[in-house]
Amino acid sequence: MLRILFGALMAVLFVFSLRSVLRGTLELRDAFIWILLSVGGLALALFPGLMHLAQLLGFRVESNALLSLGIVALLYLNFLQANLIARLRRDQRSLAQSIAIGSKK
Amino acid sequence: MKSAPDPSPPASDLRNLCVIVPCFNEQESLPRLIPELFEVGINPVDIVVVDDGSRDRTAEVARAQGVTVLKLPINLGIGGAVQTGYKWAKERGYAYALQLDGDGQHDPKSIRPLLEQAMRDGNDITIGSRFVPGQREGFQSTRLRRLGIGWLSMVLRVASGQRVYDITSGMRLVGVRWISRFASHYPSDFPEPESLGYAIAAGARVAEHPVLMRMRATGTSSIAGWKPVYYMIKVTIGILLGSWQGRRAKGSTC
Repeated sequence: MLRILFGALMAVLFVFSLRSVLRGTLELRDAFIWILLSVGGLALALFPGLMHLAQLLGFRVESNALLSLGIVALLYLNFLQANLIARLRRDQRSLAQSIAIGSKK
Repeated sequence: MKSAPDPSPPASDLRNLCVIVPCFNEQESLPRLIPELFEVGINPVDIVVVDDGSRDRTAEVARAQGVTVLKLPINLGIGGAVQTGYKWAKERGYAYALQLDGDGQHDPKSIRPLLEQAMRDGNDITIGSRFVPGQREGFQSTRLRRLGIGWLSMVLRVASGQRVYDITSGMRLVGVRWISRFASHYPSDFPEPESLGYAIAAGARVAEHPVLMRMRATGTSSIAGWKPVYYMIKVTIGILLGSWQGRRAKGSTC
């Protein structure tokens, strides 16, 4: 049951990501990581045998491996977004300063 | 008999000085501060009021006094506002830039002595300091704040090797070399200690000059409520990282 629920969730994420790109609310480069994650999640739901790989990583229970992978993926995404926000803030600062100085020329 | 040297630098030196006044909602204090700057001999065109997205009439009040006004379309915070002034000073080729808080806490009468010391000693950055030992006068801030400033001063000493007593002072005179560097690299919030760490570690010649600081005439401090805790932690890390960046910058230019 849990596997079906997880698979359904990943399918929704996959469709939602693709639809966002098609509607133009997200660029493909922004949705790319979500598409990748949802495809990976779907693969795990459809082929549970893949989760045996978790034992190679030292996990006794497969659900722990899934949870840990999820946390790592979210941390990574969060860090990516923090980077993006910092870059946007830098650009915004520079742009505002150029406007202020340019208006005096 | 030899006459005593004139303690004031000639007027031409003041013409090479750009006074940067970062302001956020300072319509009440500017009508007092700007005439004081005129009184010490600063030309209106050399006074740059950087209006950091104020919601009041700061820009109009400053324009009415005839000074240069750079109006930021959004609020960038103190670091972004001051850096705008340094960019302006760099573009206009000023030899010195002095940053001064817009709330009127710094006495413009200190400008000439600061400039004099900077020129005499060849300082890159001269800090208008409240806490130079043996010369403490005027408003000294609260005991808790002095404790915090003491801690940050110690962190700076450990990180960069130089003791600066008034590490958070917003009154600083900067020479042409560091105008250019601050124009391209300046921290965002609470920038004074962090930028000092960077500058000292990068090899800037930094000195302090005693100045009188007055009680804030209007408005309230931006560091209130829970912010002191965030401030102390953030600035401590900022000084350490700034010093590290400064050492790297020094290494790459050697």
